[in-house]
Amino acid sequence: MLELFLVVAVIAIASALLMLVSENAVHSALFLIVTMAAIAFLFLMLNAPFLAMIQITVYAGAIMVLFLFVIMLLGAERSETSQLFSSSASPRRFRWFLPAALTLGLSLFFVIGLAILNEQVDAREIPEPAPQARVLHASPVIGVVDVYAGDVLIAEGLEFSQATDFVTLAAGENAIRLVTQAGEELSATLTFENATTSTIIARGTDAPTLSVIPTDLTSIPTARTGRYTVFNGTTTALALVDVGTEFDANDNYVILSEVAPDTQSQAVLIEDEPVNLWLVDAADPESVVVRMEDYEIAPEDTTLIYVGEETQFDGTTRVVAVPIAHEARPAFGGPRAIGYELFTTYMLPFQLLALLLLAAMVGAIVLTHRETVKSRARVGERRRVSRPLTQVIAAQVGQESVSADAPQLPSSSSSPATGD
Amino acid sequence: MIVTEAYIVLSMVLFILGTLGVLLRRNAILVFMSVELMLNATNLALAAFAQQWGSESGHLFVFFIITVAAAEVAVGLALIVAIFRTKKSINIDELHQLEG
Repeated sequence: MLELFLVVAVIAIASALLMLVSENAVHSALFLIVTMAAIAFLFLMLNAPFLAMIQITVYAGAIMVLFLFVIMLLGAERSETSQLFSSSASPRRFRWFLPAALTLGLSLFFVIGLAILNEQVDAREIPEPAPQARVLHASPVIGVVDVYAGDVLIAEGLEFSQATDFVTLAAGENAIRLVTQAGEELSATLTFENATTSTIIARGTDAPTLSVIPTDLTSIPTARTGRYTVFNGTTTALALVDVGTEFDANDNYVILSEVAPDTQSQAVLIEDEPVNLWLVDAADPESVVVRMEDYEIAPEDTTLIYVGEETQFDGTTRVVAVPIAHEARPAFGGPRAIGYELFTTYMLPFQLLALLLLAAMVGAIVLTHRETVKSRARVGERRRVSRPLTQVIAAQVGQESVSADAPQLPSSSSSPATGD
Repeated sequence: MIVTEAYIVLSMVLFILGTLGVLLRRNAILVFMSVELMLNATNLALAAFAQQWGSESGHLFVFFIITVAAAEVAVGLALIVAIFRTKKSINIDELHQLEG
C-alpha cells in the first residue's frame, strides 16, 4: 500500500511541476488534469469514493474543460508567458522575483514540515462518542408506560412491542425508569460505556425486569442485506428457520440453530429476498413456536426479533415475535452517508451554495455579454427612393432629353426588402 | 496503513507548488490553474483528516470547496475573457490598471 501511495504521490508532484514550467498553456491544463486524477485516486485510498467521483466529474470533467475552452478561445497558448527563468521581461517585473518566491516556498516547506512531524498527527486521541440506548417494551403485564432516563422523559405512552428511538446517555450509571399509568415504577440502574449502543428490554410476566443487550449498528458490508438477531424471551431454546414452502420439508433452511432462553443470538445477515421465517423449538424442529407470516426483510437495517409472551384481549397468553428494526450506519464516505449529513446538519450551507452557483452563472453570463448593434429593427423598412431616377437624370441633363414614357424603375412598394 | 502525516506532507508540497505558480507565472489563466492546485491540496488534507477521525464532515467540506471553486472558475474565466476583449492580452504585468 505504501508503494502505491508513493507512486501516485510522485505522479501528482511531477505533474504539478510540469504544469508550472510548461510553456504551452494547453499542456499545463492537461498536466493539471493528471494531477487531479492522481488526487482522485488518493481519495479512493482514503475511503472516500464519493469524493473521488465528484473530483473526476466536476473538477477534471467540468472545470478543467472550461479552462481548456477559454485557453482555446483566447489563443493563450501562443502568448509568451513562460519567461519563468529569464530576466528580460517588462521593466515592471521585479528582478529578484524568482529567488524570492523560491525562498518563500522553501521556508513554507520547512516550517510546515517541522510542525507536522513534531505534532504526531496520528497519535492524537479521538474522543469516543457517548453511549446510546433505546428501550423496548416487551412485558405484557405493565401496560402503557412513560420511560425516563434519570429525570429526563424519553418516551411517553410506550405500548407493548414498541421501542423508543435511540437516545444519548451519559457514560456511567443511569437510572432507567418505566412508570406505568397506575403510578408504579419499574426501574434499574444500568451502566453504559462510551461508544456502545444498547437495547434495554423490559420483559417478564411475573416479575418484570430490565435486561440490557448490545445492538450492533455498524455498517453492513454487503448491499441489500439486513442484520438480524433474535432475543429469546421464552423458556425453551429456539431455532430460526427459513421455510421455503409449507409443503416441502426438504427446503427448510436453518438460519440460527439454537438460541438459548434469555439470551441474544449472534448476528446473521439475511439477503433481501422473500423469506418465510419460522421460530421452531430447537429440540423438536416440527414444533413451531411462532410464524412470521409475510415478513419482508429490512435491508440496510439491524433488526432485533424479540420472542416472548403477549397477553391477548381475553387474558390468554401466546408467544409472539416482535421485530424491531433500526438503520445501520451507512458505509463510510459513500454517497448515502454524505447524503445523510448533507440533508440534515448541513442543509443551510447546501442551499446557500446553490444560490451562490446561481449567482456565479448569472455573473458569468453578464460579464461575457457583448452589446451588439441592434440591426434587426430595420428589417421591416424598405429602402425608399426619394425621387424617381428619370427625374434625377432630367434634372442633371436637361428636361428635354427625357420622354414621358421612359422606362420606369419598379416602384418602391414592390422592391424587395433590403434590410441592412 | 498509510499514516495521515504522509497525506498532509503531500498536500503541503502541492500547496507550495501552487503558491509558486501563483507568484511566478504571468499568464492569468496559469495563475488561475495554480489557485485550483492549491484548492486541491487542501481537499486532500481535509479528506485525510476525515478518514483519521472517522467523520464525514471533512468530506462535506471538500464537497463545498469543490462547489465554490466551480463557481469561482466560472466567474473568473468570464472576467478574463472580458478583459481579453479590450486589452488583447492576459499578461498580468500589463493588467495593473483598474480602468479599462
